[in-house]
Amino acid sequence: MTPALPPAALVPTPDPIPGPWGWFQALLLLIFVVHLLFMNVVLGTSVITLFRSWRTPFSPNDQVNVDIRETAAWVPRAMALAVNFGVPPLLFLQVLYGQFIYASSILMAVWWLGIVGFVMMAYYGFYLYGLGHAVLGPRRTLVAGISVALLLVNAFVLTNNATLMLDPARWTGYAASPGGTLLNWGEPSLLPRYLHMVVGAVAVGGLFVAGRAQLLQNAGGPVASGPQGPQDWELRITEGLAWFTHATYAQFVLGTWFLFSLPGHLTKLFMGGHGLATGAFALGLAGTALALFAARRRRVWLAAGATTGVIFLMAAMRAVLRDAWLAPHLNGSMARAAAAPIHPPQLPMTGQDGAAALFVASLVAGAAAVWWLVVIARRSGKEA
Amino acid sequence: MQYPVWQLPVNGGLLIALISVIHVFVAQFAVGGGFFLVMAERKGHAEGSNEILQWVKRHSRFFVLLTMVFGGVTGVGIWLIISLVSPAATSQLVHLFLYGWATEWVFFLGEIVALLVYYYTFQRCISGRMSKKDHMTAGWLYALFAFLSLFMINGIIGFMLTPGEWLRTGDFWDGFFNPTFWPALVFRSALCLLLAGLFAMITALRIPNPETRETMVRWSARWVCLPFVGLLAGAAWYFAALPPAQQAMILRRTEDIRPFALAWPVVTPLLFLGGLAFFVKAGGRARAVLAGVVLLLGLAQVGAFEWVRETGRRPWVIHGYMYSNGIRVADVERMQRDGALSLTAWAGTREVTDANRLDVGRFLWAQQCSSCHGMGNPMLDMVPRAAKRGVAGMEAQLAGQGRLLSYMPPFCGTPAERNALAVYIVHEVERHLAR
Ligand code: HEC
Repeated sequence: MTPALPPAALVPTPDPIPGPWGWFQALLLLIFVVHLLFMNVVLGTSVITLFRSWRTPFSPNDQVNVDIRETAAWVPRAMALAVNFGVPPLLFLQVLYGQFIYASSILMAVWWLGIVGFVMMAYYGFYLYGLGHAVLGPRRTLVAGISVALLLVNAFVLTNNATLMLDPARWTGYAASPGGTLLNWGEPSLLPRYLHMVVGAVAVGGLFVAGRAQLLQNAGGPVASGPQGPQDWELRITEGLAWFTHATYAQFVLGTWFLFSLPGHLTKLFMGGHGLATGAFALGLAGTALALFAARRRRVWLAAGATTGVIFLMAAMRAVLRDAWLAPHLNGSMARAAAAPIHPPQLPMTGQDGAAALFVASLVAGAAAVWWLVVIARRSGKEA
Repeated sequence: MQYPVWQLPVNGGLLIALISVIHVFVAQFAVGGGFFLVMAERKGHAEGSNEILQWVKRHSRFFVLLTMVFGGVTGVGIWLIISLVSPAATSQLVHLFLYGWATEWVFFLGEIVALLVYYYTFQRCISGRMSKKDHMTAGWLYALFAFLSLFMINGIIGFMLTPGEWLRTGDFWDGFFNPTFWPALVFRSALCLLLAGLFAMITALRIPNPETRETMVRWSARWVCLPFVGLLAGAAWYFAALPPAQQAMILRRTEDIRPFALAWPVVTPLLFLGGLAFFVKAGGRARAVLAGVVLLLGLAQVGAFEWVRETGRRPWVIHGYMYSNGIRVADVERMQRDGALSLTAWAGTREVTDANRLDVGRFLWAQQCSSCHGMGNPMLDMVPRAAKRGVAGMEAQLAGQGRLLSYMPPFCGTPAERNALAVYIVHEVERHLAR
């Protein structure tokens, strides 16, 4: 086909949004951070589990092996929640940026649909892993390896779409491959962005290992795991924090690579060009330093708190980056929708205030129910 | 129709159907299952039967593994596949019902947490570390949240078939509580209870103690049989609530609807009989086979219903508003005047020339026909349908399409585009016939 038309013309006209832009943007950011936290626990803990099962001689009942398995048992639980908390961000993303994300997803449709299979197989892999050593035995390393590989592919697909949606100029690849197998290889920031995310997840996985050990140490150890002295929990905390620290040091290299792989004008946003972006970046660096310091002092909760803050800041920077990257198209397509030269007048979005109230009410009631459920679960655990 | 079209060797609609039927089967079983679990647990407590409680606990693990993960992830899968195959319609549904989807998400989250707590504290309840009342309340919360997520999704699915007053008002609530909302809810709720009984029979067959096994198999079979009243009443009400156009489309039974529309009234009573058969004492082996058969009947029943409901909407994706190929009624006139290529840049051109005629034809085929028709593949295959028509014959058919053949949308484009599409179809059909 003759690619004579400018890429900007490929961007579809968006549908009208059912409420204020900022409100959806805030919900998108907040819930995306929760999704990231769960996703990081899943991916990071999986990678660490794979490494630990590879390096630890298998024996069904010794303390280290039991700990490896019981830590891994959290992967599928966290995965169920990561999937659940992935839904609203994808929903709000579609509301605000549907004209980009639908198009890019279609161009890579085979991969995009594939994430359903990747996630499901990885889930059952780690579910088996956590069931008991009698089930998998020494084959556990193989199962963990396959599951981790699936999760890494999955993450790569998501990074591809997150970057492909930003750049309609790359959509012209559709003419040569309309079958939905496109990947965004040509994008210079693809690889550093991916590695930045994955290594960040490993750092959080390390914190999860350390945090879990800390909790169990405080509680005096679970009954089911047999007699475990305080000594062992100290070792687990050290191990987890070491993962966190090393991964975070690596981020200084990967993060810098990512920053400078961006188009020049976008790099500058974080170096004084955009107040919010630069401020978030500076605070993020300070938070990272604080987390590293806390890890050195073995203050697990401080490290975890600081890291959560850093993830929030990074997600905010990511949102600024997205809007800056899209700016020419975003404004263009919104203007087209508003002026509606292409479509006849849209149906007005009426009756949405009541629907918004329904959502907020369900959120309050849902949060109360979840709170109560967690309380009764913890109470019954303590009465042991 | 400003989106690119995913050009894949199988028909996109077929993929949607495949993922949806599996999802709906598992998800509806989860909804009924919530009520089933607490009722069965109550029975266990009332009779002080540890056997029953142990079984309910094992059965609830089945929920964690199957419904929470498989159901949850395939649910996301439906969302992904519809956004790939019908992006315009998905965008419309997402923008219009954003708060509905968001509310459903909250319920889904509540469902997951309640189920996890219910399952992981079951042993604590049996051993007395958690009160029965607390544990049962967790179960009730699970049932409630699961039902509420059905409630939400039911409104959105029904909207596509019968948008009702929304077409005039554009109001969220008019679209949500559309003309088939309540009958569909009755129908689906009954189906959920039935499916819960079905799955329970299967796990109940593995209860070790023969006496308890017999009791619980029969108790579960009641869940398969009793909801039939609601199921049939719901189905009749549902059909009656359909506007004439939708009724006619189902009764008309085009080639791809016929087998499913005929299968439903056959499979449904068989399912009932299958449930009844469990009241007859029989050997373990025979019952295991029977359970497998009944399960397949259940899947067939769900599949046939969903298929007929989907195809009954034809040629619309949102009835009266947007055609199956993503073209809005509001866009038809403009596309016929200025050309289908005038609204999108994905064809890479805005004009038909001698050099690009086949390419434009391929694009128009993907844009306007491929959502329903396959080219050389089983979904309403174009090859036999267009064979021997010739370009002129095909053009004539396209000119009348949508008026004479009401199961198809009109062709939206200029005469030059119509010619390009006809040339492309004839070219492809001949290529396939020559193989
Ligand atoms: C909404 C779904 C849908 C769309 C979109 C659609 N069709 Fe059809 N088409 C059908 C159905 C259903 C039939 C009838 C199947 C049967 O029972 O044989 C049919 C039949 C046909 C036939 C045979 C008609 C006859 O007289 O026997 C032709 C030719 C045809 N379609 C061409 C097209 C072309 C070309 C397009 C794109 C411009 C198109 N269709 C778009 C659903 C669709």
